[in-house]
Amino acid sequence: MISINTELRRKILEHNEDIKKCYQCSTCSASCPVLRYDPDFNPRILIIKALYGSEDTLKSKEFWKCLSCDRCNERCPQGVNPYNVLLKLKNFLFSQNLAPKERIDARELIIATGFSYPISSAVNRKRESIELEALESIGEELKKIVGIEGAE
Amino acid sequence: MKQYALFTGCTIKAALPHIEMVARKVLPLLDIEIEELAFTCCPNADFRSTDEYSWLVVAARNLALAEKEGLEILSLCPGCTQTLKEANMILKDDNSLRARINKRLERIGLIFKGTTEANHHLVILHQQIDILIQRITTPLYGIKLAIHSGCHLLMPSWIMQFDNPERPTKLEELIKMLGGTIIDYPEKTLCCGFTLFGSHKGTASRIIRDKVESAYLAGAEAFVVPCPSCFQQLDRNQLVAKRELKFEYQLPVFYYLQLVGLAMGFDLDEVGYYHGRVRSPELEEKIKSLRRKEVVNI
Repeated sequence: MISINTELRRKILEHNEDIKKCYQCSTCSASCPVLRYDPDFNPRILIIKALYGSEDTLKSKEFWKCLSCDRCNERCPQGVNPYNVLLKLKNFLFSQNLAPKERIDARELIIATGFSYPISSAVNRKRESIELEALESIGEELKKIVGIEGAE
Repeated sequence: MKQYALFTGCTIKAALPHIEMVARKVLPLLDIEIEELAFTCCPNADFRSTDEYSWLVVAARNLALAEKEGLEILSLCPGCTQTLKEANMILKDDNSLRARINKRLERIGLIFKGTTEANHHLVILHQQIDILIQRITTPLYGIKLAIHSGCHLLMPSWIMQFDNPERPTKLEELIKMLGGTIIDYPEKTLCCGFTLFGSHKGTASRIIRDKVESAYLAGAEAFVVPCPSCFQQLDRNQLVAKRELKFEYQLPVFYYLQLVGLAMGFDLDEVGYYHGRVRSPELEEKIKSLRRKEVVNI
């Protein structure tokens, strides 16, 4: 039995009507480097569940495995853009406080410092040893401009 | 000399600064003048996976900084290039979204107008290939290279607009210009698997093994990549995969501009080769002997 989350379904379809064109041909799955190594990750199945707004999808940790390589977007014959559908799902989870902690931490690091890597003294010693300038945190401006849409 | 705003990207700045070093050495010799602006993270796909709206805002800030200086962006990282190109395209196309994003940028005194372009340096070098040819003094004759173009230099092709993602040839052309020999191999277009390395090491390691095995058995002596994430995955992480999966062979990795540096007469140390983790003494000897031959010829 599939239980449907209508809010999720609405969110997914909001900017992505093209997902309705999916005819489950599996081109995305056949092209996916993750599925080749890990059969638990199957873009075709994630797409059909997303289209239904299946609650199942929200409990699944599978789609965080996506490598964001864009091969499925490139090859999809229907213009569904499976990678972007997964992005919408992840964004929805983040807005519901259901994103994995490491994703939230990674986001916070960028907002706080401007960089996706921690700027340690070891990093700066290495830079200075090859005559590059040390890095300084430049996140101040980002704190003023980030935040999900509408939450002004 | 054409001026560009240099977009180095976090990975190179923090984890692979020797690539920034070689870029700063080599690009000015190819008539490319680089300016440093207060860019932040592009931001990356992980950031986008939390909140696409903020992803657009931060990308718009970076683009707006370049616009303010009247400069186009030259990027060292395909991931950053993809973010900047895609955000630029989205914001140029959607007037209402652009107006909303600009409301955010107003808070820090910036505005996105849509007057700049962002490109990976390979795209720019390919456009001025005649200059590159003129600067080569030590061609890499006989060096057998496996090309790994990676994903975001090419895809999605309607955003990147550089090369055919199923049969890429542009990086090949750029390496032939340097005198290198291209080794074709079955897993050429397989993604390096970098973003899985932190969370699913086993899967990432098997991807690395298959890539290295495929290139090694085809006869390659090294990989060449345009991307810092691919560089880390095929360099540092190759050694982890090798330990975990116990395979015998290994291949060192060059970032494209390191090879340009070698072909322009810099030595292995000067192009930062020894900052890489995977080494090949045989290949090092071969590169040094190329240089000795050059000296004899003079």
